Amino acid sequence: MRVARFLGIRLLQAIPLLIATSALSFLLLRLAPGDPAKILAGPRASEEVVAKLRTSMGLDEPIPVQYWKYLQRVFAGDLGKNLNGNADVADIISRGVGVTGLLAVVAIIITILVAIPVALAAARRPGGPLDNSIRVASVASIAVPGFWIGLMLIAFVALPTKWFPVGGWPDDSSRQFNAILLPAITLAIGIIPVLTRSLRSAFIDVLGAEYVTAARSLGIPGGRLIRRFVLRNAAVPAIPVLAFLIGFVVGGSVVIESTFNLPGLGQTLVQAALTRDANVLQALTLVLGTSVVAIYVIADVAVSLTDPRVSLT
Amino acid sequence: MTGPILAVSGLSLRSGPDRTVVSDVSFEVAAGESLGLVGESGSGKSLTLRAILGVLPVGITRTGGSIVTPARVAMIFQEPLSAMSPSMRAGELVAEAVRASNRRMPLAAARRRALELLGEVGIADPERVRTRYPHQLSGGLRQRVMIAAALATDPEVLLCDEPTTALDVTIQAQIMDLLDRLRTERGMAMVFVSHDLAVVAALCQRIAVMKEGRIVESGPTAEIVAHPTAPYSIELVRSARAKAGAIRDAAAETPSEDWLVVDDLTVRFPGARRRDTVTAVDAVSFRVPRGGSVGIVGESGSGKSTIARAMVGLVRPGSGGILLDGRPYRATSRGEARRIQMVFQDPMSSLNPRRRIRSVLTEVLRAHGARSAAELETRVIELMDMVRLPHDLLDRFPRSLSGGQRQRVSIARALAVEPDVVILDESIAALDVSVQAQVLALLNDLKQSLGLTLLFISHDLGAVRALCDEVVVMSRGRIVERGMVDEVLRNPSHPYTRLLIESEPELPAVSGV
Repeated sequence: MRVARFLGIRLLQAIPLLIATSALSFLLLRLAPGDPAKILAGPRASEEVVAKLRTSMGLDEPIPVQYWKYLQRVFAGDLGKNLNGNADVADIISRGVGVTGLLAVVAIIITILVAIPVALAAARRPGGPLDNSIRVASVASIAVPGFWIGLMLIAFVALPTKWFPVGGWPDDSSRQFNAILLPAITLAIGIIPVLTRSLRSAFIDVLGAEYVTAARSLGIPGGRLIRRFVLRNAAVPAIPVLAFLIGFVVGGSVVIESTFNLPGLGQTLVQAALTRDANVLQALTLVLGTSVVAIYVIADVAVSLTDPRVSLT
Repeated sequence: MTGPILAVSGLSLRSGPDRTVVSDVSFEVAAGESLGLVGESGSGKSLTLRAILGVLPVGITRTGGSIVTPARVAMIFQEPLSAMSPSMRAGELVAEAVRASNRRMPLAAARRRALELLGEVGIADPERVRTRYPHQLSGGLRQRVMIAAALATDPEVLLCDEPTTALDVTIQAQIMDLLDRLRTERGMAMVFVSHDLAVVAALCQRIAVMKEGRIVESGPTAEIVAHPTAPYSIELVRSARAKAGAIRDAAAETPSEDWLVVDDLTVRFPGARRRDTVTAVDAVSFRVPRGGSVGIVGESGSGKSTIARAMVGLVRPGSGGILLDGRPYRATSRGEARRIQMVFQDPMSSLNPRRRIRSVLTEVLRAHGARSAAELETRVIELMDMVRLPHDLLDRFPRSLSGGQRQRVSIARALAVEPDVVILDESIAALDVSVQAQVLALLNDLKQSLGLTLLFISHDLGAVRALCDEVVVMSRGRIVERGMVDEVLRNPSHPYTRLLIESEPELPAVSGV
C-alpha cells in the first residue's frame, strides 16, 4: 500500500520531467544543422521538390506548432513513421528494446554475480595482497575501452571456440542468449570494478560493525552470517550505484552494439542521428528517459524494502 | 563449591606491532558467580571480554595466557542499537540465535522459543516487539532483546560489556534488576564490565579493578569499596563518593537578579503530517541569576537538549523566548551570539578532526572580531591556562588528545569569546568517572573566577549536585519539578523525580571512608 502510493506519486512527477525532456530534444533537433527534407529527397533533388516535401512533413510551420502537433500525436499513442515512411517508429523501437534490454539485464546479472564475491574477498583483509591485486585489476578493466575488449573477445573466444557468433542477431530465440553473452561480458567488464568498489567499502563497514561481532558471538554459522547479516546491510549503499550503472549500461550499449553488430537501441540511435530521423530520435529520448526514471524509482523502493529505516516519501 | 567454569590466566593482548593493551590478566569465575571488571576506557576491560569470546577486533593479537571457558558463553554489548542488524526484526534476531545453538530446530519452533525468551526478559508485549526493527525500539527494549538473544544460546557465562552505560538511569536500574534475576534463576556466571563502580558494586560479588591493561586490585565487593588499597582504586572509590555526596559550598550568596530568563519556551518539530508534529519543549520557563548555576535533568527525549539548542539558536522556538540581562536575546545576531556558548557532549565529534588545537581556538577568536597574530597567541595561551592544559597540546590534533583533554579544549573554545552564559550539554557524560570529577572541579573554579552563569544539562544527578545551586527536572517536554538542588534531591515531590533518584546506582554505605 505504502509502496503503491509512492509509485503513484513518482509516476505523476515523471510526466512533467518527460515532457520537458521531449521538448528539449525536439528543439535541439530543429536547431541542429541538417534538413531532413533535403536528406530524404536526396542530393540531386530540385529546390522545388525539397520545398514540397518540407510542406508535406510540416517542417515549414513554426516550431511550437510542430511540437504541439507532435505531442498530440504522442498522447494519442502514435509515435509516427520513420523518415522513409516505411516503418512505424513503435515497431523499430520495440525491436531494439528487446535486444538492448536483454543485453543490459545479462550484463547487470554478470556484474552482480562477479562483484559480490570479489568485493567480499577484498573486504576480508583491506590492504592485503588480495585487496591490492583486485584494485589493480579494477583500474585496468576500467581503463581498457569496451570496444577493444569486445574485439579481443571476438578474436580470442568467439573465433577459436565457435561457441558464440562474432556478431549479428539470430532470429532463433534459443541462440539469442549465445549472441548476447559476449557483448554482455564486454559491458560487464567495464562496470564490475565500479560495483566492486562500492560493495567493498560497504562490506568493510558491515564486517566491522558491532552487529556482526554480536551475531558471531551468538554462534551464528558463517554462511548464515553472510546471507542474513552481511549481504542485506551491505546492499543498501550499493543499490543506488547499481541503478546508476544500469543507466550507464544502456548508454554504453551504443558502442558495444556497433562492435557486435546487434540491432539494439544503440544502433537504432546511431542510425537515426545520422539521417536526422526526428521521429525515431524523439521516441528514443522518451523511451530512454522513461526507463531511467523507472530505474531510479525501483531503486528507491528497493532501498526502502532492504533498509527499514528508510521511509518512502 | 565446584571449581571455576571460566578461568583466564596470564592473558596478554597486543595492538598493532608492539603496543601492549592487556597484560597478564588472570581471574576465575565459579558457576553462578558474578565478577565486575571496573576501570576507565582504554584499560583493556572490554578487550578482555572479547578475548574470552574469541571476537577480538582486527589488529589485536593475543600474545600469551590461557582461557578456559565452558561450551556456551554469550555476550551483551554497550550499544544495543549497533549490536543489532538494522535490517532484521527483533524476533528474527532471537530466532537466529535459537537456531544457532540448535541447528535442527524448525523455523516455526525457533520463533516460538524466541517469543518465550522475549517474555522471559520482561518484555510486556513480546508479540509486538518481535515484529519491530531495532530503530523502532527504545534503548531499554533493545538491550532486553539482546539479552534474550544471548539467553537463546543458554549460556553458562554471560559477558556484559557496559550494557547499561548507554541507557537512561531509570532504565539502567531495570536492566540491572533483570540481569541479577536472570543470573540467580539460571545459575549463570556473569562477568560485568563497567566504568561505573557503583553499578558494578550493586551487581557483583567480586570486583577486579583494571588500569592500563592490568588488574591492579581484586577482591570481594564490600572489601574493595570499604578498603581500597591500590592508588587507582582509592581514587575510583573517592570519585564515586564525591559524586554522590554533596560537597558544594553551601555559602553560595543568594541570587539577586534574574540574569537569564527562559520565558514560556515552546519548540515543535514538524513531522511529515500535522499529527506527526512533536512538541519537544512545552511552555518551559525558568530563571537563572547572574553567576548562578542551574541543572536540567531528565531522560533522553525529555527536551533538555532542545532547550539548550534553542538558546544558542540551533533550533527556532515556536513561541516564547530567551531574555538576557532584561533584553530579548537573539542568538543569530552577530554581536550577541558570543554571549551564550555551548559545550557539546562528544568533544570528538564537535572538534574539527583536521585542525590543530591552536587553530580550533583562533578560529573562534577571529570569527568574533579579528585580532593581530600576537594578540591571538596571548589569548590562546590564556585559554589553555584557564582550562589547565599544557601549551604543547596546541600543535596537536584532537584525535591525539584524551577524552578529558578534548573536553577541556571544548570548554576553552566556549570561553574564548568571553561569554556570559555557558551551557554544558551532557558535557561530562562521555568521560571516565575520575576525569569527570576533574572536569567538574574545573567548571566549579571557572564559575567562581569568571562569574559565569552555568546551565548544566545532565542525566547524572550526582554531577548536578556537585555543580549546581538549583535544579529543574524535565519529563516529556515539561518541567515537573524545580528547586534548590539539595532540597529537591532530599525531598522530591514529583514521582518522576523520585524514580530518577531511586534509579541512581550508589555505593553501599560504609563507615570509615
